[in-house]
Amino acid sequence: MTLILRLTSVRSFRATIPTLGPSVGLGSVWFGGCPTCNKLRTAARYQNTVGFRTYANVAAQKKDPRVELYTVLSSRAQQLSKPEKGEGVRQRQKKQEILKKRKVSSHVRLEPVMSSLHSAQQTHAQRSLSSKSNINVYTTNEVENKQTSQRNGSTPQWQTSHKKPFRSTPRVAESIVEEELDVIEEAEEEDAHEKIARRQEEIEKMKNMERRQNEEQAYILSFMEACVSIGEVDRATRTLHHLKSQKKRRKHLNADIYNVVMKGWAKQANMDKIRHLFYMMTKDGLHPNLQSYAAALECMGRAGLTGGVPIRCVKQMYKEGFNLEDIFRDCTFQVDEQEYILKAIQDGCGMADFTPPLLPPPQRCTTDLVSSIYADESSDNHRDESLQVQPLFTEDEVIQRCNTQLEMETQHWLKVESVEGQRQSSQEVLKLRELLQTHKTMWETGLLQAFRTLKKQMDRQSKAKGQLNIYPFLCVLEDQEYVDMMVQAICLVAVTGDPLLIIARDLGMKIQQKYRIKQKLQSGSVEKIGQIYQDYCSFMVNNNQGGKPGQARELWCQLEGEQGVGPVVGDEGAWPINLIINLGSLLVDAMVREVKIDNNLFRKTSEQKLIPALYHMYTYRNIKQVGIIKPHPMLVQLVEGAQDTNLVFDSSLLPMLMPPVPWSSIKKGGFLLSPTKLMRSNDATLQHELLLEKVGTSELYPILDSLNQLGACAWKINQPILDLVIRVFNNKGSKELDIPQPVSEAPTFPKLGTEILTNGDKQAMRKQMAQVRKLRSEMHSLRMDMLYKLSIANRFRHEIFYFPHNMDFRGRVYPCPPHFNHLGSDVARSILVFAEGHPLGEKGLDWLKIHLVNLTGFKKKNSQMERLQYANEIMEEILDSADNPMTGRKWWMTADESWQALACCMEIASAVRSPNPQAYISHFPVHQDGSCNGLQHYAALGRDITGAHQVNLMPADSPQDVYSGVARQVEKLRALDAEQGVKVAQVLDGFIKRKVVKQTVMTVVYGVTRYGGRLQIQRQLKDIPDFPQDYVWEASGYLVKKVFMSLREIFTLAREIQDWLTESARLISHVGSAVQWVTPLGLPVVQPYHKVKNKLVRNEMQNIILNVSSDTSERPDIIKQKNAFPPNFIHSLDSTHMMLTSLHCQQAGIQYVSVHDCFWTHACTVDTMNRICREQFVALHNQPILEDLSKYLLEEYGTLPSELQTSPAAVSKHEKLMEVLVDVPPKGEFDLKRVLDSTYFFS
Amino acid sequence: MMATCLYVSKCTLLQIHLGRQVCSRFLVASKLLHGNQLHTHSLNCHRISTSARVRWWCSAVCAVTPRSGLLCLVGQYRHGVFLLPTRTLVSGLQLPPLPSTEELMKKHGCLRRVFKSRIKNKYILDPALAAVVVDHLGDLSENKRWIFELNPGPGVMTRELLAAGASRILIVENDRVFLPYSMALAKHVGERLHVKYADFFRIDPLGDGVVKQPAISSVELFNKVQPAHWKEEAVVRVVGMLSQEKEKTHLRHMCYRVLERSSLFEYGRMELNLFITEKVYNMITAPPGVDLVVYESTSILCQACFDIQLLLKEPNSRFLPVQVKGKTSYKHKANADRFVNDHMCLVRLTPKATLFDQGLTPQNGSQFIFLVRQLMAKPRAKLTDRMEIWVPGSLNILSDLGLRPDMRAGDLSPTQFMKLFLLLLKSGSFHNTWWEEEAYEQIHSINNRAA
Repeated sequence: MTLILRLTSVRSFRATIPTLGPSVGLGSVWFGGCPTCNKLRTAARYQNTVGFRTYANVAAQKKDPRVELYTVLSSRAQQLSKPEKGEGVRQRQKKQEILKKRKVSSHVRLEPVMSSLHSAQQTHAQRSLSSKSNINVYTTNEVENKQTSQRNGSTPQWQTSHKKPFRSTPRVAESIVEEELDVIEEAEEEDAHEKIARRQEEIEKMKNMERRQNEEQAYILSFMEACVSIGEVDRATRTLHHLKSQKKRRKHLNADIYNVVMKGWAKQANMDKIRHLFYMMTKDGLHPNLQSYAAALECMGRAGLTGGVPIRCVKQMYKEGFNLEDIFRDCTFQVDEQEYILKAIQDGCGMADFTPPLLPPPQRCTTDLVSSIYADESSDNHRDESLQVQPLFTEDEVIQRCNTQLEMETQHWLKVESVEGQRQSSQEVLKLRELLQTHKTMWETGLLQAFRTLKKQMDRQSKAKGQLNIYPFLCVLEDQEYVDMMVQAICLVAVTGDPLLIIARDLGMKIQQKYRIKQKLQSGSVEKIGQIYQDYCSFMVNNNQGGKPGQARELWCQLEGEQGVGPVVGDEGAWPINLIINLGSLLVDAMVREVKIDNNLFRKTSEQKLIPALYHMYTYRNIKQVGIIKPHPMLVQLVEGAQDTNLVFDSSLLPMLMPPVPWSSIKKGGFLLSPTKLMRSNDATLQHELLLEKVGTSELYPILDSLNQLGACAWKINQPILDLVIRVFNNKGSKELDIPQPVSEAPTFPKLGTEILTNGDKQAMRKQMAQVRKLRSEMHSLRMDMLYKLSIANRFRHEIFYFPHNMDFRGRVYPCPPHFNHLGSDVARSILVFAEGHPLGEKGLDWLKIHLVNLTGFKKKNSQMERLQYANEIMEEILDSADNPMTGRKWWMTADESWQALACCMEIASAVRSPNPQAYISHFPVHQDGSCNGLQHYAALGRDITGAHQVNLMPADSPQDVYSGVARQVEKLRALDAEQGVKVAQVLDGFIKRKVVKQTVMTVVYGVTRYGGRLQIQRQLKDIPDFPQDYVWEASGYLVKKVFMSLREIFTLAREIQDWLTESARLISHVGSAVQWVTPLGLPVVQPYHKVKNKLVRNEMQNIILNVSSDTSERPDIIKQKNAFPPNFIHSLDSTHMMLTSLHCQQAGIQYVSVHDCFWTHACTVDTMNRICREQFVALHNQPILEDLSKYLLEEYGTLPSELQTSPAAVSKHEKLMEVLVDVPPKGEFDLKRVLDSTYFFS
Repeated sequence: MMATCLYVSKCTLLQIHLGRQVCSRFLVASKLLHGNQLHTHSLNCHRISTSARVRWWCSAVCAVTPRSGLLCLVGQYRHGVFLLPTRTLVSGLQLPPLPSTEELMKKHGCLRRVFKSRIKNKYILDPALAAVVVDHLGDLSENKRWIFELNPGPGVMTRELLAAGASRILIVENDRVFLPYSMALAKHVGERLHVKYADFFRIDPLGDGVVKQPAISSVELFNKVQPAHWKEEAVVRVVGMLSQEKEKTHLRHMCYRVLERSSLFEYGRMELNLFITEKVYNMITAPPGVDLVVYESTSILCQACFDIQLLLKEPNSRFLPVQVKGKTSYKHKANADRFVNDHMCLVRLTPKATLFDQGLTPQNGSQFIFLVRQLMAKPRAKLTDRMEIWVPGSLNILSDLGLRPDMRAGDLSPTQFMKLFLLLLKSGSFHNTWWEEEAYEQIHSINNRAA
């Protein structure tokens, strides 16, 4: 460690020594050549407890051209090194002035003597003093090695630098470099090695983003970033000083925080400030890291500095164990940063031949399962040439649509016309609309003013004391944008009031999103991205579905490489949650104070005045006191009455117009500008990201590629259905058709009378009230959800669009836009069809018919032939439904999934009526559903014959129904009990149906508990009208026991596996870790369940308590970890199966989309997909999954953490864990191959 | 009538340690005997002070009728030869024997010392303490009033109550384990004692609509009680301990019910004699504006609804189970003082007879609660700020009340809160706004939760 102090007088020296503490005691002091040195020397002796060695005038003796440069630099540096506080400040400043007048500068450098440092280093130090730079320069044998290697190598960069003369200080630098190298070389060899090792560790750490874990640090970092981004680097620096002076905060400062500020100064080419920051950093005992040097170099590049300074900088870098290539590999750059760094290196240091290292060639994924896909030669491309279709867009359209998408995301939000507003509006509605508009303008002006006041106040606060506050975050966007956001939020507050936490968080998040987009815009790479996107899209559109898996990703990388876009800023800039909430609640506070409403809107009672429209109050509905924001009923009435014609959506909530950006690394993909996470997680959980980063991008290729494949599917709207749905929706909805009704249809609250009610009446009324309340709020949210869906669908009615995908922590894949997507309800699914069409072909029509019967749910136990036959029988009904959906015989309404059935009816009708049904171009997706997919995986894992038979892993003539099987088994048990006179068993006679047990059986695999199962059964029993309701509770308890028993009997091996998983998870979490595993496709999974930690976010409006359950520093939540492991593990398997199918479907060139365990494709390619799906299932389960899991867990948890080794309880638990982990459950006799022939495996 | 003479002690003077009240009861009892024209021999009480202690010398001979038992001797024998039971109840009908404290503790885990774990009920097993408590309750021998005894456990208190002449006792027991004791007692005493398995603090729950035991509906619990007018004297005296879990919540819900005059308070005013912890006692009696951590909405509601009277303070260790708390370390000494919790306090809470005189009605009671809770959610906020946000133009109301403009919400006394509320009512600020409904709904959903 090197401490550099520049002291101006004896007194300040005396004052400094004690504060420096023991580190100085080891030190040696050099005094620069200056008249005050004698004084200083005596002072040093006086203070000295351990010997200071003084070297005076050493530098003065050496006539070095750079000495002059240095004196200039140092005197400038003195000016800027303003002391921090009060009186001392002024005194010191005075002295500085005096000194300046005398043209005196005195320098003291303190350096702790390392034990390994010997005389050689002292000489070195002396020498380096001669350079007199305050960026201290060392060079190590690393540099030497480098040099020799480069000399011998093909690109003798360093050598050429020797030949090229420096502009200002020719030759001198070079010779000195040489000289110094010779001297230091041997002495420092060992030391340097150590340092390099340490540096590399630190680089690793930097990559891991562990620094972000500390919220306080994240806050400071975000503050600095925001300051820099609004161009107030000065404020950032001041705050840095302020923080440094606070004992509590000082420890939170880290190199990254300094780096951000340095970068800011680098932009302004202010070398002095950077130098000073370096000095501050080292004084704090922080090590400048790669990014710091990059900033310094950038600054030099901008300032056009050449010669000694950059050389010294580079040398020190090498000395610290970094090298120049690292900069280009590991740092992130914006706009022209890279160019300037390059300039500093090439011109400044004279290494003209230096070129940034090329990106490493993409690695190959090593997972066995997908080796066939990524094989170089895919000579036997099973691509079906008949599937080649016309590209969806023309070249021009591609360009235009790409631009529209980019524009949409730049604007961040999009106004979407509400379907509710479409209908004719009455006079009254128009009047209300006008009223709302005037109110909105009023609010806007009021809020704008309030916002500016707030900003000013914050500005003052932060300026005066350099405090860390919210100010820069109020500046990152335009004032008007904040106000717009607030006005939007006003109309969205729910009738019953929304928790402050939620409103504040949403606002804060929105600001953050917009800020990040803005940053991307600022960074200037947007044009480049736009260009890449265009090229990418035009390729994708012409080559849709045809490509090899991985093509999209590789293409993107290639295009990026061509455009020279370096690694861009990832998700790192995430603001900590307390910042987001604080920011949001400040705005909410302004809203509560400013937003007023006219009290005579609806009735003329008293004199006109403005009353508040939003109230901040507390509710005790939950056990805790919760602060909520409640709108005045009049506001609600106004907003509802006006039937706002426009809904505003963030662009990240909408589908994309062109294929999404492919995931090419774990940080890049999805939307163009809006930040998207590869792995969804609540809060700011970082553990998944860290884990993903550890694995490395290349191992994740199959996963990324399958996400890309799913995202590249083009969709369009099934317009006739959409029209129908909108009509029903606007016609007050319909309960039977599952279209939510408006709240106006809901029962109203019982009126409060003035008469005194009797006790019983009061109770009844309370009960009624609670029910109505619940019902109303449910209806409202359902209605709004549907409104959003339909409005978005309506907006994209004539478009072709795409859903970018990401996954949850188990690898289950979801589309990113939350409101409208194919994962949604029956209605949402029915209005979506593939944009690409394929002729039905031979079997296509049959598949459509079978699909229709599947959707109705009428023929679950019949074979496919029977289903087809049934469809042919009822052809008349189908055609009638298709022709007169609302007026005809309405057969479709009886179906389980009625809207999809209707859509299917229409498709069949038009196919049948087309002249040649085989050539009919169908866009309709046909589904293939896994029958009880969870149990299928269990059965396959355990090779369980009976189980496999039950869930259709074995070929059979007609589909087996596990639910009926369980129901039969339960009935058997019940009959036995009934004979023995168990009352409940007798009551239940004749009531045990498939439906009663279905949900419980289905969810058992996913870890439903006895209690949950009991509730499910209770619900079913309540629905049976004949069942004596008094027995419901008892009977449900009885039944759930029997269901569990029967399941155990049928799926013996499956239960064994489940028990094994549960027990392992229990022991693992007991030992103190979260359960973690890797899927066969290489996706790392960790369960994010930890003990709930209450986190208090203080702010002026109200303190908010957050329950954080994903804090990795907390102990794992044993119960959750244990109960969730089996279902999560099975989910990770089914997601693997899905991804494998997806990759192979892409290779086969067929359209493929999934809803977890329901796979969709075109009618003509169902057979291909079915084959692939079965093949992949077999391939997946041919892997030794459980053995691999056991091996992985043993490796992961094999050693007990050292702090637990002393506790005997933990040790014994650990031993037990090892026993359990080794003991993998046995397997049955089932032959996996048979799955290939099973028709009803997925059907 | 056959009189049984019981010769207690021929001996001269026993040195007995007695409480003052117990002795006075003794005297009362002897008077009663006089009234019944039974033979009382002698009853002497002397008070002499030896050294620092106050001791009572007493000798007594009592007689009893077969139907009514009377105490014969109270106290603890100290140095003499006779080992008299601390308190002997002699009755024509022998009451079932009570196992010793040790046996009880052995038998019932819920009486044993608890380390840090949550306890539901506390019990009095020390007859001496029970006697003291009963003494403090005042005259119990009145015929008209019911006495509800909550969770008596093995029934030590019940015996004392019977001894003190209570004529109608309803035991409300929420622990099945102890039901047999009370049942046995009821068998012996007959009409004087009724037993019900119920939880007094889970009265009238809403939940699913089905009242599951031990929750109980007020209609069922009070079916034998004649409703009385609010102004009349309380018809029922409740004696017991506030459930140890969620003490504050239970108290608050009692207040809600008083203000809405619902549930148990539909039957008139109840006199609640409850043991509460010292901490809660300090809370409900906290003065306004001094310590805003202690002074909270529940304190205001309690003080507004009830006349609070402290009857007795006893150290925690005399109640079972003794809760052994882990050491809580307070950072500031002030906090340690603030949260002293060494005693149990017997308080008498009587709903104020004048509560509904000034404009408060059972209908707008919920609004008052709402106001108090909303304002006290941030007790340190300036009152004017809060009020201005809700009820613009309420400044003049505040000044009408003579409140300083810089007053904090926590500086208002309960009466001031009430006055403020009444003025706001009068000014019509609440009328026809969301306020009314919200208040009603909120309070009721709280009541709902109480179950």
